[in-house]
Amino acid sequence: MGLLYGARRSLLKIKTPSLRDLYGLVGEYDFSVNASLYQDSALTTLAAPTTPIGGVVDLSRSGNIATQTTTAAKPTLTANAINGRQAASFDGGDYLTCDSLAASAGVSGSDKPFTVAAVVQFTSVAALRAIFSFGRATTNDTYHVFRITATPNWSFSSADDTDVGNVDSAGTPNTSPHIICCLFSGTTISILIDGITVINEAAHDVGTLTLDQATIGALRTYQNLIQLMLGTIGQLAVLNRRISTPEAMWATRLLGKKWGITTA
Amino acid sequence: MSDWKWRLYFFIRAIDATAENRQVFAEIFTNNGSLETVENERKIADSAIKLSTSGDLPAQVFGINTLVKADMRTALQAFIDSLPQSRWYATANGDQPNYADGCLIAANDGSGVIGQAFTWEDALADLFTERSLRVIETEGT
Repeated sequence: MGLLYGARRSLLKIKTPSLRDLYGLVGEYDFSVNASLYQDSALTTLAAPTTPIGGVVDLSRSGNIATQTTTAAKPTLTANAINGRQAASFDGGDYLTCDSLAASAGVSGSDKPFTVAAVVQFTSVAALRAIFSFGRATTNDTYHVFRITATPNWSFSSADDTDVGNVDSAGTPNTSPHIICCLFSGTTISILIDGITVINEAAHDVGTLTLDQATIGALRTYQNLIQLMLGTIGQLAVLNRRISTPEAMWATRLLGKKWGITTA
Repeated sequence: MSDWKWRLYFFIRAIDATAENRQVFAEIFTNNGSLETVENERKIADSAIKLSTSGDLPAQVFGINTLVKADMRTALQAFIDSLPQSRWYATANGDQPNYADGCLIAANDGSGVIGQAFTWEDALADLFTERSLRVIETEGT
């Protein structure tokens, strides 16, 4: 009888959907999960609300831990930051690095696709503020960056050794929490905000790139560390492919339900 | 209960962000339980918020916003005080028995009102009043 009951429970067990259900997830950082957050970059002391965040475990199980080794540049773990959930607060001088993510995402080369999904709330939208970037440690300011501009617009910008290309939205960022999906095919860019498309398959074809840095909350490339985030990030995920629009809608609704954000 | 009970806003001249002074800042953090190495803490000015008397580059002042523990706070304030024309503001970062989160606890030169909410923007406003400094907002490409 007990065996039958156990078997029935197992058969009826319903898996909770998560971003890990998406094929190609290579980095997931969830600032609402205390067990994945540490005060130090060596991951020895757990973070708690009001402490700095120096290390974040990659929940995609790809091993792309995000760290910050300088105390003054660590974001702060903040309770009740986004609709009652804790999140990481970035003060305009804070950022996290996860350079191994650049290799996992396979963004070096020609026309390489990737996706970034994030739950973000800006404190101010009066300046260039980066949510996430891929960059290059040496030689030149080569990068992809997903950000807001001072206009303000949602923006995706890339640079190879000689050219810079920007795609800016007509949609206007504000200081409310949003779920953002940045879908880059390698030659076109789409951006969805709360499930609404603000940039739709805009042409964005840059040259062959070598990228070996990844940064949450700043544009970091070569000798530049700029456009630092001012606001909070609740969750951020990176995939090594351009997910489809239906997949992006599924992820948006999943994050919307979790973070209390209304979606399309 | 966190040991990081203070948030320190401080501003130093860019020319004072020397290797020697970065070493002092780094040792204060590392020797008082930051859990990071001196080598890493020396990068303190790398992501400093740049301010200028004119709004044009090159920046002349570095602004730093950081959480600190008790002994860090004491040592940092003393060292910042030793640098010419520097300013600091210490606010409560939760876990304070007598101050609400974000309230001003102490500042050099008597700026702000102790016990009242004091943000980074208030610190910038104070700098503007006292030193005509303002943030460069257009950095980047």
